[in-house]
Amino acid sequence: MDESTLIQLASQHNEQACEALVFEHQQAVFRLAYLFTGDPDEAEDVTQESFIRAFRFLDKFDPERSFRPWVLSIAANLARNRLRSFKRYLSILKGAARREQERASIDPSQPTPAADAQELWRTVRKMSLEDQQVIYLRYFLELSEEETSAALQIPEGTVKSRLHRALSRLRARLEPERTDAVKGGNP
Amino acid sequence: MSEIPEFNPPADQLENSFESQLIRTTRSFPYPPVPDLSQAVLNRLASRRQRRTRRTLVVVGVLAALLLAVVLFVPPVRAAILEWIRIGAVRIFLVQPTPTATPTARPGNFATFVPTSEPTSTPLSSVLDLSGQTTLADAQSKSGFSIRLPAYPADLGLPDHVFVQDLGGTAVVLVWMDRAQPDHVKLSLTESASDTILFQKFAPKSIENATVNGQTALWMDGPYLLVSGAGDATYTRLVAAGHTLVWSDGQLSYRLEIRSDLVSAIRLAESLRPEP
Repeated sequence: MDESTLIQLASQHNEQACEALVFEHQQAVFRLAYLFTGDPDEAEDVTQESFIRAFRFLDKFDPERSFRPWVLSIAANLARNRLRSFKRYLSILKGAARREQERASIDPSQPTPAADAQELWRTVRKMSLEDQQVIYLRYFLELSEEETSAALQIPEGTVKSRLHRALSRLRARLEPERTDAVKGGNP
Repeated sequence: MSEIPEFNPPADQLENSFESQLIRTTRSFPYPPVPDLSQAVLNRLASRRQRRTRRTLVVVGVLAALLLAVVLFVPPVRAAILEWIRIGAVRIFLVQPTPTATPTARPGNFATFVPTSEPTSTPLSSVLDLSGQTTLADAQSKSGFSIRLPAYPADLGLPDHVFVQDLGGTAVVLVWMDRAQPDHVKLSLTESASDTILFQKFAPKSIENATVNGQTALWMDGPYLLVSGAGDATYTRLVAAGHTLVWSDGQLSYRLEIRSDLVSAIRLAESLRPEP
């Protein structure tokens, strides 16, 4: 069954269609939520809420459009709002111990692809939420420019210029870290 | 960060090289395992629908009971509430704190209304809960009058939802959603050619005189209770926020619910044109 049919059925509260849409897109939504929040529990909550909101307003959605960018844009907004909320602090307290464990399991003196990716992520997380969003969508989730444009609800030309500026700022942040690392003998 | 790019490729390749290395790096990102959330989402959807229905019934039920109590059991208020203004198919009941405070300089006709039976109403939480949703073309064929659409604002477009209501007379309800907030109603326009009263409003927060195309109009602030229909089958809805403009044009009555100011509402009202 194609996605537009699933969307039409889901808009009529068909549970199987809703389930199929969640199953198909939950990985991308969960990963985006995790990149923003850094907490699996929060990411799970954001993912659930994103689908619930998407299904509530499905009758306004054009079934000919792709579902993924739309639900990702909802997830990004929810995750960004959580970053600003008090609930975030409670979650940080709860998840602090677990994250420390995760960090400890990756030895920074032994560079691995996963450690590099985490270090890159930590650098991206210091950037503005707008920069984070475009970098996560385009490079972490590998959305096309067209899908990124749909998820951000901006023209593709604007995606390109926003990406260009975000990458410049990311490069600027990465350069000093690289220089420090070289001076310290740990390239 | 061994996989983070070197920053010395030729200038024209700089960004592409950087981008490709970024993607290579991010592919190794250690995401936590993704739980299967489909059942949890379905459960939350079902429970949300049940909660919403229960909450709506409780709120509207309490309001309806309070209103009925005021109308029937509080003599001073009852005496005052029975004063009303009528514009076309819309009747507005005025609540005054004492029976001696007579409203002045209000347009329309005042009269005394004595309820003959207790109303039995279906509570609604939103205009979108109305039954009778249909297409504009179908509404046009069923209504028996020429449906008019606003030409202002220019980018308003056609209504997102159209309802045809048989309330003892036919009423057409046109609803436009807010594009920036798709779950919010931007405005709703009710049109009716009925010569009987189809809508009754109870105790708006404030009422202001206005004119639309030189005809008397009323501009009201929420919150107030709106009862749609006649006889035993009615709908009850609490208009919690926003404003309402009511006016008539010949045999046609109009009721515009809008989150805007009076000037914009009048401009929209005066821009109504027959559907092309």
